[in-house]
Amino acid sequence: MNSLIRILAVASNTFRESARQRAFIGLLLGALILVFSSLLVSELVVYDQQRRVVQDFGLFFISFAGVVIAVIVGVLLVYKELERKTIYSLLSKPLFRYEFLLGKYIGMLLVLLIGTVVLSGAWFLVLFVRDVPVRLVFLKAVLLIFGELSIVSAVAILFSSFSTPVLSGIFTFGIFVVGRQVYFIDELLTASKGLFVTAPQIRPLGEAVTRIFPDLSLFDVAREILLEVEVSWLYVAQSLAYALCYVVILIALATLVFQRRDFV
Amino acid sequence: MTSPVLKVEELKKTFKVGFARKVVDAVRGISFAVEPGEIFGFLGPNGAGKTTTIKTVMDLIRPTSGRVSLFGKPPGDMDARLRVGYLPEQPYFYDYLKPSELLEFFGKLYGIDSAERKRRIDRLLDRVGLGHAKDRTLRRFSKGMLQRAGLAQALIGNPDLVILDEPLSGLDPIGRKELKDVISNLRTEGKTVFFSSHILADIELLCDKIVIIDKGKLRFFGSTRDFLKTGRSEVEIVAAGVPEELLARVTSEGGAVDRFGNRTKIVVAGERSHELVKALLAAGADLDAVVPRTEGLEELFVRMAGKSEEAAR
Ligand SMILES: Nc1ncnc2c1ncn2[C@@H]1O[C@H](COP(=O)(O)OP(=O)(O)OP(=O)(O)O)[C@@H](O)[C@H]1O
Ligand SMILES: [Mg+2]
Repeated sequence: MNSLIRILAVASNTFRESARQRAFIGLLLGALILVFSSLLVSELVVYDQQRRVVQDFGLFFISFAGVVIAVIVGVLLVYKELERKTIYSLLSKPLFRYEFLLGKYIGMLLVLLIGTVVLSGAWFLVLFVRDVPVRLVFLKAVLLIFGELSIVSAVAILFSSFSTPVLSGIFTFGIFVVGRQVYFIDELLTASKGLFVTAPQIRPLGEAVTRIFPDLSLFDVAREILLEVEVSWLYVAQSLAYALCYVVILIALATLVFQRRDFV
Repeated sequence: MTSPVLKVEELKKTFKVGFARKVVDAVRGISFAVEPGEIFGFLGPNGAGKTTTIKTVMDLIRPTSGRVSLFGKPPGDMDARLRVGYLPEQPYFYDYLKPSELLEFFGKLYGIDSAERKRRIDRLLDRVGLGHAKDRTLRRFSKGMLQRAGLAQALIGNPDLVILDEPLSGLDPIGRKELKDVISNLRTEGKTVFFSSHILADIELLCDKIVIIDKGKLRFFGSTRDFLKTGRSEVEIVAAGVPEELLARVTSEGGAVDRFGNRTKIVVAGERSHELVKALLAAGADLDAVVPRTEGLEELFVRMAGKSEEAAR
């Protein structure tokens, strides 16, 4: 109970930091860019393609901007505390290190949540302007994007618990890119021809990747939306549960690293 | 017998620096104990290992070997942590917060309920002299003001043990006086204060006990009184019209004499000064000044180092 209070205190301070440092102005700017660029792009195509373009482009933009925010905020989350020497007074309080990490992470999730909501609002606005009916599946798509961002930001925290912000950023982005391909690699592994048949010696590598890396394609339903295939709530719930499992493991690993660290 | 609130046993900390993993011995096996109710000074020149020791006490860094205990528990223990307040050497806090917001945040970590938090925050800010700056964010604070905010955040949990790393640095003379008053008030409240400094004079008046370290090694641990007895105290006397035979006697007894025109500067051991002043007055000399010379830490270390070399021979 006390532990929860402490975690939430750290979370709300993390959130407040973003708010006070005007991070949300950047977010509004992002939303404006989304609106104008998708309106512009959809102007360029013939009318019956418009609907497809605003759907696709908006979803892509939210996901991409979200990943950029998740990586940047995630790798700086702990680093800033060290750089600004605020961590000494905080960690010397009655606060376990895992509570600190968890609080920081939850605070960041809150920031990401607001980011996703604002960008989605902008997207829905564009859909409305272009006469595309807002369907429930769009909401599901946004929820799934948030699930993906929760994994990406946890990866960022794990790397930043032992590496520099720049390297952590590169690694995290790398994991994101590979994670989006896990499904594809998996298909190649079961295929009767292709890369793993012509070069069987790298097969173990492919198997390791599909086993360790999160399958981020689960969170991308752009194709389903395009083909108007149904995305069930069960699927959404399962995918979010999958994200939660990864998050728990990643934060636990980050805590293990963090426990042993010296704050000199 | 009371048990110590803070105990450091054979503490060693080694840092490995750079790609070459060059080894730096910051602390090389020091032991001491702080009893409840003491004001305890932690002295040493720059780079002696004070901050490193304090950070291991606060569980910010882990010892290479040796042990630290707070209230008989390991430094990471939650019960122990609830009873300690700490002011870091560099008092930097979340600069987007106002001091009251910072204290609010930290107060929650100590599990203080919100009514009590409010009461304490107002009282504390007044106590450290920040009552006028409640509505400014910490970004606009001067170094001295940050130091005061730092003291307030160390005290928010009403700790039994207060650990301050160089609390007097960055303060003007008035601020130093005020801070010393805060420290002696903490004693009257029955709290234990452990603070570091590299200035001997800061510690002499305030502390019951001191530890002196240098280059990661313990040089002295005991009461301030005992320390001052071992320390060589000297008195400097400036006078005019001093008879020659008196000067000859001073030199023969090991005193130092310097002449500036008709005035003479004499430096003698503290215990001889009383007698010499009497003799000077009897001889009709004009006394300009009688000043006790307090030995600086650096001089002290030079002398101590000399002694240990002698002992080694
Ligand atoms: N992170 C670190 N990496 C390598 N060496 C370190 C590190 N921190 C401290 N040291 C070294 O350890 C020694 C003790 O440093 P420490 O900061 O504990 O001294 P101090 O007594 O607090 O000095 P000061 O009075 O200047 O604050 C110094 O030689 C310092 O260079
Ligand atoms: Mg120091």
